[in-house]
Amino acid sequence: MKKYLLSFLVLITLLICPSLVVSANVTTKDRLNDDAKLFSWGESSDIKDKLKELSELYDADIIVATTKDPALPEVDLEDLELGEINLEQASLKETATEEPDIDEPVVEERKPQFSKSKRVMDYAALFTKEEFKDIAKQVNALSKQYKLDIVVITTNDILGDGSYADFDASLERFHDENGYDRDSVFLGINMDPDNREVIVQAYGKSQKYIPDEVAYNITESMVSDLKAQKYAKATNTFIKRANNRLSILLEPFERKLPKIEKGDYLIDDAHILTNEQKQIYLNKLFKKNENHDIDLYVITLDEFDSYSSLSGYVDTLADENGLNDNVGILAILLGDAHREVVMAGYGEKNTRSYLTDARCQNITDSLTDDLAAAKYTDALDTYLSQAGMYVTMKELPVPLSVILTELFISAMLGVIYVCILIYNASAHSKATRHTYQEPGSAQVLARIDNYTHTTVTKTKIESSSSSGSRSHSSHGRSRVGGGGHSHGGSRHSSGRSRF
Amino acid sequence: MVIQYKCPDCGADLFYDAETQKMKCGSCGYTNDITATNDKNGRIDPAALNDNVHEINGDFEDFQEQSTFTTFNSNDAVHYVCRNCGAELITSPEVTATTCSYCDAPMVLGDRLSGCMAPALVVPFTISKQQADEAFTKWRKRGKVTPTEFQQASRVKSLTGMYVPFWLYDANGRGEGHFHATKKRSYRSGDYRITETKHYDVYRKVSINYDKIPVDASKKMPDAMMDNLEPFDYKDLHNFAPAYLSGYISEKYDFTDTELFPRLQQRTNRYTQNFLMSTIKGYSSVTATGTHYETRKRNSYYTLMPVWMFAYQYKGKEYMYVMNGQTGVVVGKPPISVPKVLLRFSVFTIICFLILYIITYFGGTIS
Repeated sequence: MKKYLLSFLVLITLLICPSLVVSANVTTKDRLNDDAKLFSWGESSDIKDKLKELSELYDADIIVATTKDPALPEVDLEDLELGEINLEQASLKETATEEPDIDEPVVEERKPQFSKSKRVMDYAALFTKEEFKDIAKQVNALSKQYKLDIVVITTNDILGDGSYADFDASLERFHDENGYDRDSVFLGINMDPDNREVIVQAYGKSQKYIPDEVAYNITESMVSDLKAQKYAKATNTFIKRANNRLSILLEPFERKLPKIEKGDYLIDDAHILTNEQKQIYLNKLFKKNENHDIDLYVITLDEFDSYSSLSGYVDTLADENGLNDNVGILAILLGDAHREVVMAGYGEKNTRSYLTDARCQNITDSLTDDLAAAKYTDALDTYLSQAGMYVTMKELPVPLSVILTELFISAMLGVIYVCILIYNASAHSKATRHTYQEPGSAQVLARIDNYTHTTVTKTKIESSSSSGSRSHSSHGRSRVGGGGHSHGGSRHSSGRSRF
Repeated sequence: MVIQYKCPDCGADLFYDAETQKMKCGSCGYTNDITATNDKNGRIDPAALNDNVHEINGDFEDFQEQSTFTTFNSNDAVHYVCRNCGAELITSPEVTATTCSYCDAPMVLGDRLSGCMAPALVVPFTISKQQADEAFTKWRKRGKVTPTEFQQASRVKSLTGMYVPFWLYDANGRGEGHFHATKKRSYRSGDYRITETKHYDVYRKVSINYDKIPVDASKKMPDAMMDNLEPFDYKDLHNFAPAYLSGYISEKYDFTDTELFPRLQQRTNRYTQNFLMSTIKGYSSVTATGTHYETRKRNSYYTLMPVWMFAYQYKGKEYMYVMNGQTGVVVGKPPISVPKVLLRFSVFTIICFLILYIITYFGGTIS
């Protein structure tokens, strides 16, 4: 029984990843090396025939080896994960000409024809065995988790015969031609001595989470390590940050924010408050929230790659936690690169009358100074009083200043009306020039219209800007520091740094 | 000399009836046309009336200052006797028609209406005493800010029909002026708004003839009130006949046409300016740098105009109102009710505010 199981395993190994099959002493003529003595003579020759047939068919040596060395199967199983999807494509595309070491990455100098099964390709040989294994492990795990491909490619030239305009384009084509997932994230390290660069690309829906400026930030954060030739460390930075970004996409609350229960009014992930302060503000929020329908929340974050989607992040957060009615969330992002504060209100009634866009903007506007000066408790006090006031006071559909202006105008009209009434209380002469003018007698005796000169004035026209609004959720957003923006239209987002 | 018109049928007093515009007998209902009773006392120089000289093209100076009648004030006779009852009538010197204080018979003082004191023209009453009273009541009720009490209670102390002396002037007005005028054109060029202003020197000289502008010649009637009675309809302008005064009170002028000319000038100069400015067109702004207006009298007519006078008592104060006896226009300041003014103001303000508020509420925010 055990014998058959093992043979089945080896056969599978053969079929799936022929190039990785390992033998101690294998020649091209002898493709079966049955060190473990698993097969009978008849079986052996049968297998040999089939191997020969396959090898000739694919113009590649397909080798089966069995061994009693206990370490080997573990390694096999680990690497088998690399490609468990497309057997046919894999076997067709494989062109291994020499016996590869199980731990070594495939290194090719030819124009690449990669298997989809591979997510780490170290053509520039930047990683040690252990590093390679570690990176491959992480990348595979993440790819599986997010159901997309995270790919790391290093190269000495720009992947091929120079027919590509730049590294960016060649990576894009590489992505297209090798059947990677639509939503892949690529890291490319080009070690071409003339043009050393690092690129992060995001495709499909990953773009949303790794927009251009985020990709750029990732590459920037890698540059120093790359310069110091700490390639693995740099790659790990990429993986960590890509993970951070993508985790928002799929499991936003597992990573940063635990499930928000009713009463978790203060979540201080940026650790801006001492435990004592935290308790004080939590109590204050409790007291405030007890007194009215709208619950106010405060969330602080330190790790967040995109300021541009902080409000989107807050939206998702609120949505996932069912905080979509009568809720106001203040999110303070205190990242290294981006500092931002977002105030969001949820619930139709709430956003229409209480935490409206304008009010949310007022809140963030009044907080930015304190936040920039790191006076977090002051900022929270301001938030509590201001938002606390807003949630108890319905916003007038028309601003008070406008109402007062209208009242003033109305009163003026009223005064004019009354004056006219009083004036008209007694009759006034309706006689005019025309009443007494003798018909036809009005004559112009002289008429001169002399043009003298022209004067010209120039004034600069001030352009005005407009802003849109959203329904059902209101936002105010202020940037505390850092900047940049994502642009649409591209089918992938990317950032690139030279080092 | 007292003129009293008697009914040929019954011998009762005839008086002028505003509704039929005829002489009427109060007793038997006999009526008679004015022309028939006209004793030709009021003569008028037909040439003066038909002064169709069109001298607007520069021969202004040739206008002859001419009044239809030269005026003087020499009549001191105040002693008249009623032919009906023989009572002695004591009048102030300016009264030319009145009623006997004893028998109420109409009395026209003919000698004060003859010669140089004879009016040239008259606009007779077309609104009778009853109609005047009704119209006045209507007018009182129409007031939007007058006290309710004033509107409702009829406290007319006296209602008198009176022929008020006026001078009607024919005049020629001249005006000239220098102006600085501009034409503005504004267009956009890139990020700039360019405003081009063309400057002009403008000069105008105009002439205009006026026909029978009335100016009241009675000292006792406030000028502003008399001005506000205008306009009178000149289709009813008749040659004067003493019969028109029968049954009404009448006075002779207190000011001569020469004395009143400055008041006329104020008006004609305003009219001339109005015409002159109307000839400057097509400019964005016009500023006068120097103007000159003058008026020359062409003719003046001593004319009697019909006015109903109301003395109205309200809260211990006497208010005077006058009504144009021809058109029914009422002039005079009614009392103003402060609560009514405040109510009107409040209601109007609230309505305005609601309209504005609704506009901003549905039209989105303004600011």
